[in-house]
Amino acid sequence: MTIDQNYVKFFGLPVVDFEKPEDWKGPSKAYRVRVDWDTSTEEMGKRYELLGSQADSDKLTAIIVGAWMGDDSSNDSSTVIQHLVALAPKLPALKAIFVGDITYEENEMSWIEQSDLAPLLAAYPGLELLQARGGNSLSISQTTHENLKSLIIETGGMPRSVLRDISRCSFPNLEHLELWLGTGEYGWDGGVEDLQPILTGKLFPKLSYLGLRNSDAIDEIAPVLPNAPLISQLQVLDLSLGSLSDVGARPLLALASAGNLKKLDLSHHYIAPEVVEELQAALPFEVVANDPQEADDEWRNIYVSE
Amino acid sequence: MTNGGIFMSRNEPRRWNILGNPDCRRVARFQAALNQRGQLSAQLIDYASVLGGDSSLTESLASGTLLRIESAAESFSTRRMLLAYGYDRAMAEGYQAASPQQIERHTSAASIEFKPRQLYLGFQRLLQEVDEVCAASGCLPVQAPTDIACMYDKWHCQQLLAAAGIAVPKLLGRIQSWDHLRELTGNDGRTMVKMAHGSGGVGCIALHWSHGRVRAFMSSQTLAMAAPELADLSVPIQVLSDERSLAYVIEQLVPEQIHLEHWLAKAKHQGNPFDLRVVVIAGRPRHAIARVGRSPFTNLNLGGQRLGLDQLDGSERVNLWSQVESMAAKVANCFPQTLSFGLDLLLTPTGQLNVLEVNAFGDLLLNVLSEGQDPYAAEIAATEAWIPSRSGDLSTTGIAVA
Repeated sequence: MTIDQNYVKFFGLPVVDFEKPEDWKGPSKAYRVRVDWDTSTEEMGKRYELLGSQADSDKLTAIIVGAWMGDDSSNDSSTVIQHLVALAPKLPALKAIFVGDITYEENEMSWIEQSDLAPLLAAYPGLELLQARGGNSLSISQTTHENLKSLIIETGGMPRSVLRDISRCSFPNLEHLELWLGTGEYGWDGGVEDLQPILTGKLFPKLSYLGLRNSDAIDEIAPVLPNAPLISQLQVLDLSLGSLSDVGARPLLALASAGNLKKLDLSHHYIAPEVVEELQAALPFEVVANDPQEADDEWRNIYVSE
Repeated sequence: MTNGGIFMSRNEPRRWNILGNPDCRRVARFQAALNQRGQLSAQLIDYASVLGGDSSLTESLASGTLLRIESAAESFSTRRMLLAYGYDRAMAEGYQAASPQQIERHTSAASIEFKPRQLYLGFQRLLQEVDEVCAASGCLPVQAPTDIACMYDKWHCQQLLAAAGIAVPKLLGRIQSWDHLRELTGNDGRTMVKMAHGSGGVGCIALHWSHGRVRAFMSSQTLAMAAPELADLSVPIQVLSDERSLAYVIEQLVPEQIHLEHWLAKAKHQGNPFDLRVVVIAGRPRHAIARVGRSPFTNLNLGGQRLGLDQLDGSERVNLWSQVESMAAKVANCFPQTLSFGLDLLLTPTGQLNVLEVNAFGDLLLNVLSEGQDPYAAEIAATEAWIPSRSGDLSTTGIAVA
């Protein structure tokens, strides 16, 4: 599978592509700025500047960074992040940023070069949602952010260094942590031990949603989850888009005694129907297991692995 | 010399002939459009009879009548006959042609992707013969057979347009081999492979090179044709990133005649790229739809969704129709002896139109009306006024040209 469509909704708002003043439809939209491969990357900066100078742009709450790389798919996100940082005084109401709404036509997920996201957190103290797509060169320098509620990082392969970075940050109000771990083929070099700091439950006291999605290591990760201290504070555990099989699914029966859980999402999986039924019967909360996959011999795919 | 064919009173519309397949819905729709206007049904000349060697063409095409040539390749049996018809020409140019016996035996000859070059050569041969019969009889084809042959050859058609100063994606060269393609693409950039006689996106490969790595987007039908073992027909689009497999696919396509052009970025509608299909009649754009896709290909058979032009978002579309009008007129000038064709247009994100393709039989746009008429009705209505503008044409006087 691939990501073949740009966002049409973000942070609850309809998305509008912004290139020029006529595209401004007031502050109650999420604006996406991007350049295609035939357009100079300098346009990115000009378009952001223009966006920041619209009437009412001080009320804007959501911005999407689309494809920024122009004709060189290895251009990283640092320049575009600088543009956004420079714009911060003009966007005091900004609450949501997505860096990397990029389709597979625009760039291969595993070719996207990110950079340090921390400057965005520093520049926008009111930020509640930070989302990024692409794991290469991604980092979050140690930072504290009082208002961040959601952190979403989508990758085809997440370097363990990103997990380490997240563990070192202080997000006292983080409620939603969604990590697309990906495959070893495209950069996942971690293991269960790299998730342990998060699973202790000490880092993010308000966390109620944990997503360990799009992972081909999920069979190894799932068995440790029922015993993780974090689980008792979660309402949603999302293990979807991965390659979960019976091996990883059966130990999840032990979640039956996991306090507050309201939902376990296993969608896009390789679990046998009878095991799904067993989970649904045994667990005292909603178990979603849509989109069952058919294993091709020994080969099991995750949702995005390019 | 007097008109040896059918005499007509001044107000009586000319009689139509259709060269087509009897069970073709395009033919049925055109006949219905004629009847709705109170005109007599066209005389149908069956491709199978003509290709079978009978004299129906010369016997049917009377002076002063009109000829509409319909799509031939929709019909399995006609396709097989065209393949056989192209055998000698294909052999003469060194193509690995399928012999008439092999065509009979080969079940895959049923697929539209079977030996496209040979199929084209058969059609081209037939079109030349139609052209000769029309010239001899004084029958007036509403599409010049030579124009149809040109439109069915993407490289030549795009070259013709480029020479006329019409914007097309930059043509980079005809591909002789994988190595040749690598020379032209270099290690970075976006290019598109096009197969001369492909349709429905078959033979189109969108290439994205970055620092020597490649991703190649193509329809699974393209893979089914070039490397069936790699094809997954359960999905419309596949991506190859393995250079050896890609090299193999390209080498398989080289004999079918492929060229390389720039892969232009498309304007987007709600996050999805789109292009336009416009039916041009007598030099004017009439029926138009946008095709919105989720891949480099917006073909409706590859998952593209139809949309009216007025449904597109984006303020740069305000002047879109006048741009389309100007483009349609320019392209029609390249084919002055052809009443109607389908034009595929790409709008760049900065608002420039480019011609992606001219489709000889691109007028089957269902449920789209222009001035209350579907494309067929509009073509019939436009014909009489168009005939005098048809350059180099003597039959407008009603005098047959022997």
